[in-house]
Amino acid sequence: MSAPADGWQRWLVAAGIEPGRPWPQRLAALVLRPPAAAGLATLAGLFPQVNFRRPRLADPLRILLQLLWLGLVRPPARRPAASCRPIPWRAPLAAIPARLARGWSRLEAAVGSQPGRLRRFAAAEGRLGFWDRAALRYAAYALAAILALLCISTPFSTLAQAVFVGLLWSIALVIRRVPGPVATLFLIVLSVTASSRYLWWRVSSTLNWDIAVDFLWGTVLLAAEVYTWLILVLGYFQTAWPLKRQPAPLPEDTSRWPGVDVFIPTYNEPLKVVKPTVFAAQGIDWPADKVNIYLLDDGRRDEFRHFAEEAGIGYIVRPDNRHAKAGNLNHALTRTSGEYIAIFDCDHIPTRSFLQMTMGWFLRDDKLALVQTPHHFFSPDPFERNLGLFRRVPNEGELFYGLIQDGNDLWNATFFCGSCAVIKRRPLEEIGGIAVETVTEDAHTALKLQRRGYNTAYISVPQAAGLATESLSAHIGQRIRWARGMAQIFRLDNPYLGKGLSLAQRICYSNAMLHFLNGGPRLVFLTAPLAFLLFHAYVIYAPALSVALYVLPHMVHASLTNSRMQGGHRHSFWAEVYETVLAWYIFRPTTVALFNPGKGKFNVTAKGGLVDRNYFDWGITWPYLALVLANLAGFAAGVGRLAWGPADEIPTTLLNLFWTGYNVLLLGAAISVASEARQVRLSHRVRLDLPAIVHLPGGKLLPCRTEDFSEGGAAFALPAEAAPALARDAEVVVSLWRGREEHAFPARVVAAADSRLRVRWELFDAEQERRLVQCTFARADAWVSWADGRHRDRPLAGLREVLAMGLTGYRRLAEHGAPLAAPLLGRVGPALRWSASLLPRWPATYRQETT
Amino acid sequence: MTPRFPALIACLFLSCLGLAAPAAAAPKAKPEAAAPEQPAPSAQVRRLLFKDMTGQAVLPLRTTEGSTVVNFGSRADELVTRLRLRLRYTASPALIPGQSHIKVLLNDETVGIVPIGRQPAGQGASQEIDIDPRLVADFNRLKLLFIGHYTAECEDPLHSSLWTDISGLSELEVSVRPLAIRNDLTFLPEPFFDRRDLRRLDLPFVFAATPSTATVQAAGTVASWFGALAAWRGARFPVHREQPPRGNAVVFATNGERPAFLASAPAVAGPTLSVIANPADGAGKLLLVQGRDSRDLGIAARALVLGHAGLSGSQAVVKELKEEVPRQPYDAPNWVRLDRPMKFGELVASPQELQVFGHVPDAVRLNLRIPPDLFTWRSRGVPVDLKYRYSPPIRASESRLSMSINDELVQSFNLRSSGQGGESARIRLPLLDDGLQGESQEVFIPAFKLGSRNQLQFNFSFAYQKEGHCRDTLVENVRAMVDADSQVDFSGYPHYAEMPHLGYFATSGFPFTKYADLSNTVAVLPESPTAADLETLFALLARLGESTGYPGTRLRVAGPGDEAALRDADLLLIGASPRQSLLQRWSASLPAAIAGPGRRIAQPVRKVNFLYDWLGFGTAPDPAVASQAGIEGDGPLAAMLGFESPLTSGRSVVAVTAVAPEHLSLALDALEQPTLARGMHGSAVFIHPQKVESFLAGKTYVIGELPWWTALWFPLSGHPVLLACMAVLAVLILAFALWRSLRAVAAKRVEGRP
Repeated sequence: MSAPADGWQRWLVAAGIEPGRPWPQRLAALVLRPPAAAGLATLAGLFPQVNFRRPRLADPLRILLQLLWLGLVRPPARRPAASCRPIPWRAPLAAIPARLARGWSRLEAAVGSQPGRLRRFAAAEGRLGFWDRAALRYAAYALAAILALLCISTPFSTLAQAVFVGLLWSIALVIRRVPGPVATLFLIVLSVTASSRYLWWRVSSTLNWDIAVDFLWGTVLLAAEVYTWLILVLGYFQTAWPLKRQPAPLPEDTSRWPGVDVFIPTYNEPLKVVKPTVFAAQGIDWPADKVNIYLLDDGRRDEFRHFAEEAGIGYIVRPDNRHAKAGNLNHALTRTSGEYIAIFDCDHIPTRSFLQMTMGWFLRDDKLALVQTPHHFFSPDPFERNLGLFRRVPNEGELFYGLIQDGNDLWNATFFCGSCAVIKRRPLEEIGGIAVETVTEDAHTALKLQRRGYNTAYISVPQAAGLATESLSAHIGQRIRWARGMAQIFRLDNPYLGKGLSLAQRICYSNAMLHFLNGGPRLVFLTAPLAFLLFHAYVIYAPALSVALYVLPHMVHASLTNSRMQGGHRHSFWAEVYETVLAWYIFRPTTVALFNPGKGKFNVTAKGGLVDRNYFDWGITWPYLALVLANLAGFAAGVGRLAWGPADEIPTTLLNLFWTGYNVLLLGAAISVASEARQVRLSHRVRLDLPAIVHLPGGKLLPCRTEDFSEGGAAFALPAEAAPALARDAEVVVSLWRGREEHAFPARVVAAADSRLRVRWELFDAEQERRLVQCTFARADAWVSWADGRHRDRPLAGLREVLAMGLTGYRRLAEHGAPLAAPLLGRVGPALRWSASLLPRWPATYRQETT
Repeated sequence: MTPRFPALIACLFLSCLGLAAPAAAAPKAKPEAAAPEQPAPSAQVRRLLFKDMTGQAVLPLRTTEGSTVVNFGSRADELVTRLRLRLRYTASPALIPGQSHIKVLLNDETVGIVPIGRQPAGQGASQEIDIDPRLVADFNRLKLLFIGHYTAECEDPLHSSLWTDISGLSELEVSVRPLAIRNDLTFLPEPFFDRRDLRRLDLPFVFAATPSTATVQAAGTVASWFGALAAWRGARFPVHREQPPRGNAVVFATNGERPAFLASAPAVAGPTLSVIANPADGAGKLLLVQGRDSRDLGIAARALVLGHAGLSGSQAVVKELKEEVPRQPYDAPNWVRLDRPMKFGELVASPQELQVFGHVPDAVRLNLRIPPDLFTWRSRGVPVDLKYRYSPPIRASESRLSMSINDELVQSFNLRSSGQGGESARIRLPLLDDGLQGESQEVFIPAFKLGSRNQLQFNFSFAYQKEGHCRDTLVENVRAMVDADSQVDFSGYPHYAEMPHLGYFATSGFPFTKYADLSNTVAVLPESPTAADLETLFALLARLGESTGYPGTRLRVAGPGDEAALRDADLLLIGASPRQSLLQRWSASLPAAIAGPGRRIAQPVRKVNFLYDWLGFGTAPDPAVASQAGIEGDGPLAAMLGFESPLTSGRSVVAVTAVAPEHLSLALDALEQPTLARGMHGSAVFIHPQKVESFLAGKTYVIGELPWWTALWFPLSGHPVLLACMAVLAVLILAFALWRSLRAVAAKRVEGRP
């Protein structure tokens, strides 16, 4: 069947005429249909992007493009619907790609639906006991190791490498659909193999020893890649098997429950921030005689002393502020005597179930010294706020608390994170209290405990929630502290040295520390293509095609595997943004700390403030602007080289252009974060769905559910038919439940419209405030369903999102940096949309069939 | 293979014999002129064609002062009595008669003028010039200088109408008369080999009626020595029995076994070398290699090839011969060194060869002989540290140095005019002093271009300065030089090759030449070798000597029955099929057979399936399922066969055979022609007159050793599918192992056990 005929028939189908009919009938169908149908409707079907009732200037162009498109392009592959008779004009040959695609998805589905078979295989293995024979087992391992080494090291021609990686990639795509841990481990090993192969290739055949400049750049890049490889492998080791520890039940007899001191250290935070934490701590379900709450005020403020007295909790101050938070806690240790110590940062509001969820394991394991729970934040961090990601994309910390700590737990390497944790007093005193040598006292304390042979545990259920850092500068400051502290520990108390740790613990700790050294390598990746584009150094001394064939599998396998392992906790490519933003800032302190670990002081993370206007943090962004300028210069040089350079360099130039283009967009995303969005509310609204009853002024009860709430107010979704007309400032009373207890809170209406009621709390005493906190933030189930409704990670979608974010960054940069150009930039969006409207699209006929 | 090399230029530098010329491009004089058996002492006349002497069909003369040079030599034992140049040429019709002419110079002395420009347009012309024979020296430069003018004023020296082409059919007619010389060993290797004679060396060997293997062995050593001396000229050794032919010859005799004409001579008392007048014509000389027995004869032969420098007088008795140290593999003097980088200075006879003059000079050429079994898989290339100097060009943008290997461009460098430029610079140009610039560049020769014989070429080209009408000046004052300190490095490669590969044998005598003294070579002759068999053996040994540049002092010759001698050696099998009994005995191993009229060629199994192949199966040709074609036929046919020795694995056999002994020379003729020799490869080469056909049939084997990791990678690198399967298996096992252990760890942790 010739192409033009095909095209003709496509037009017929698009116009709603059966192409199978003989010619006269087709003509008749065109002419004899009712004028309305044959006219506008047909045309509208044929040209869905043209509104024939309101013709526009570019319509002729649209029609022309659409005709070409229909005539030349095959419609999307689809299953023939039962009602629709087979279309005769589909040449069998043309259907092959579609068939292949269908076969592929069937294979994927088949493999994906066969976990039972795998399990049966595993069970059969158990019965046969093949693996129980040590000799056989080790022989198999040795064989596998030799084969793997061969697969990593055997050099290939370009074609052979393409076949090799193509096969492995297909296998990975199929295995990805198989649920269960074996498939995950398969992907991990495959990814390590692919990455090791890349690294081996880089080391063995891509360094140019002949030209000093090339060699120097190449070695620096290679070092960065070795680091990345190391972090990748260590990361796999750490997260291969999250333990998913369940809380251990406590004995029935509450008299056997141990005594707990709750420490709430504070330094300069406003009372407003500390209050809910204290109130929530008072509501923790634990025998009242066995729990003591202490406010450790390093700020020595009278306001706090009064509040503590009023609330009936302990208040501890000390004469100096040595060793900051660690010193504060250590001082409190000397003044208290509880067997266990629960520590909450002053902004972390614990839920009532905190102790019951965590204490069980202490009673089961005598050597257990620490139980850590996740840090949960109900306010957006600067990334989430400035990029509009809140609750849509997992934030930076979620990977750590959702997966890494859980994975560490398998190896008994969970570490203390400074808050939301319970520590046993005796082991803590044994190691001399909280560690004071470094600025990350928490991780170091856990390390010391574990060197003494104590265990740690992690329970991955959010049992407290707090405020994220407000501004990017504060966020960066916090990360700098962590990075510096980790580098300090790496120097002062290196987990690989010293005694008391198992190998796995050493690996987990070292990974936590090495991870913070990523600043340098990241900066190298951000500048590496410039070596070629600006200085003509062949950083990777190999043809561009080979580079692609080796580096792509490394990245694709890592991405597939990480997406499967981390998908719920970190979306693909977002790590790149986080690392890019921090790279410059943690590069310096970590390097300094590695050489001189004694330098650097503790800085308190500022919280509870607000960003009162939109602004652009130029101070933070200048390193990135410099990098962008350099990359843009490189990009321009690359384009120049494409046009005027030698022809044999074009592939390499394209590769480097692609790389630098990616860098530019990544930097754009980083810049985007620096564009601080205004934060209007003094208190953060938390979206939460709770049952409530609104007592209307007339005495009418309105059962409804909360949409969100904060310390200042709440919003309710009302049943549509029951939406009352409420005046602004009308007084209402809202009933909320804490377990079975009902509590009523007076409030004033802020707005009521469209089945939505917003109120402002009118609380008159601390007791009510306490009740409100306990009914909302401190509920046992407050944070459990936080991630519901989030879409699962898809690597390509993540990439697209990150790149789009990069474009946004430049738009914002232009808005702030050159306000005059902003209107012009504002036109870019509409212009793009207008251009898109010219594009041809499938007529309704096809779209119906495909759906 | 290298291109034809202007053989006569090379003769200037013959003191370094082995390196002088890459190919057997020896000009072959007409047989009637070359034959030394003409009645003595009357004068002989030789015609030397320009095309044979220069290797060029046409010698173009361009620009106002174009020139070309033809080199020729004259033998020490001949006197040139008359020299006549017959110049055939075609000149541009635009040339002004009277002003335009060709000046003929012999050894820089003007010997004649050829006026041009008077002939009708487009027609060739010829002119004869008699040259005074007294001007003839040992090595002679015949220079043709073109003085062309097309206009009286504002002449453009590069004008396209300034041309004259000298035909390659122009000739020198040389009449020579033999010169009586003393019987003196001092002259050796003259008069038996004279390096001024640019023709192929044809030196008869004289034996008794049935020479023993030991005698043949001694003669073989001598043949390889003459082969090394003759170098690119090639060498043949017609075998005569009992009586010497006319002219010069080498005689091998022991007291018990001597040719008839020596029957009355006194017995020698030990290994003896002597020169006597040839009794057959009185003018030729005979070199007698004698001994009491075959052992003595061997000592005499080795003394000749190793110690000829110390011989004098008409007879020398070898009292003592210190055995030379056995040669190490791959240490042939003619081959590049593999243990260290080589300086360019080591690769040429004189540093002058690295220097060129003029705007578009001839290339600087470096000949490299490389062992063919160098395993360069995944090598980034052979590093060349290139340093060069040149006069600063005026127009740097169009002046460059191109480096090529075997006429394939490797890299070009722009020549810079830093600090120089403008009109005056041309005049002030200092030569050889500080004005010459030095630069160093490191480049890599693409390793795949390395054959066993290679030529590195460095072409300088300088742009001409053209400033406008009537303002042209052309001063050929430009010179350039590749520094002798530049180096090329072939060290560090393992030796590994898939055999049989007759191409290796044809171009470099490999694998026999792996040891330059042929210590691992056993030549196997038929039980009663014919003259043709012996002649073939000696010619082949001469080729081996030419390849290594070293005589085969440890060569062994054995008969087909001597199985003990055939073990653990590379065998060179000579003999027409019916007479060489080993060919019958080993017929199962042969890739092909041409015994008598019946000819058989085994076809290897075809590689059919791409995937199957990439899985690693069925890659080697399988002789068990090979088809065999039996062909009946007659007519001349020779063949070379390569196969693994049935006696010792890893050892090679090269058999040179033919349907009849007289057809063996077909093989020798084919080997002498570079175009035919280049077509030889695989395990079987059928040689017809003027045509060769090569096949790879039968079993293959490998020689040499790879490091163990390369030995693993090399076969696997061709099988990505197999490797992917291996990867999946490995990953499955490891994933399963991880699953088991992680599950156990997790269970332990959840139980709360330590």
